[in-house]
Amino acid sequence: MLDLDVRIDTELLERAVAEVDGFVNKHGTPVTRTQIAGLQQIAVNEPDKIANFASKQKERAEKRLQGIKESDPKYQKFQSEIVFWAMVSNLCSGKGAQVSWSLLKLREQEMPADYRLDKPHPSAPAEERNRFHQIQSQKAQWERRWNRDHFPAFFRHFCAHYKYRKPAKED
Amino acid sequence: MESSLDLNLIQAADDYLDQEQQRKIFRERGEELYQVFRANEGRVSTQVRNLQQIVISARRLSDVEDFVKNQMGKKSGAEDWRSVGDHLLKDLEQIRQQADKMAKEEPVRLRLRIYLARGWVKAVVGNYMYHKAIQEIPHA
Repeated sequence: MLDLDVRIDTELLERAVAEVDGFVNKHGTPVTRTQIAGLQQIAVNEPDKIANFASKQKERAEKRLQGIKESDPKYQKFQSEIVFWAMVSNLCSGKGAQVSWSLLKLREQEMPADYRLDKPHPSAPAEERNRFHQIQSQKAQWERRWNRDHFPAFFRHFCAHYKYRKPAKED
Repeated sequence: MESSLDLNLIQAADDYLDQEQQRKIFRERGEELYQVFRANEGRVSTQVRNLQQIVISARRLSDVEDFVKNQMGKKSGAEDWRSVGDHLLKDLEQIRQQADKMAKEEPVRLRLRIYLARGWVKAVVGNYMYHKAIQEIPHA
């Protein structure tokens, strides 16, 4: 618990602040406070669904962008909104070399070695296959607990800092 | 949480909070809080009470930082917080840096940050109360 508190108070805070600052300095604050409140709610109640939520918000912005001329001020706003939700999605579940950091990557790094099992061949003995399923179930439980510990904390910092950076006159 | 801090460290933290430079900041911040939030019909401002409460109950300094940012980031009614919030965040950042200087191990720094923040809010609210009391003394 103490280690988690330390991580929340240092590493996750620094990362969340840096991500928000990096985005806001380049794109401003296109996402509304209501959307941020939604993101925070999902992070607290359904941390496993944030990437899905972000993906839907991104699709919505993409649809809104259709038919809008580039000269329209809303065009830039929706473009930036798309970038924002792509960033949120990447922060949750970004993989591969092009993603420098994500909660998923962090979780993968910390996963106990016992859970890193290759799927047995279908012809493997039933005992081996049963053991694999048992470990898969334990792994899923470990992942849910990890998500519950880290996602809400990260997005609490992220949302607070975003709201802090958002000018008062904007919704 | 605080009780597990080494006694020498607690003494060093208390000495830091008692430095004239810090006391000056506490006086300024207390006055600032009073100028911004005033009092609620003679009672301590709800906003000041909320700040005090969050610092007392927080497990991490970032809980306090998030609280201040959230108050400043509201669409309406955030003007007061916006006028004082950056100074509060600066104070909290200073606490963070001081804890880093005073301790090497992260778990100790975590506890020390909260210990220092509690000392900070106690002194700042004390100064707020002083300004509130001064205003309430009937003038001859």
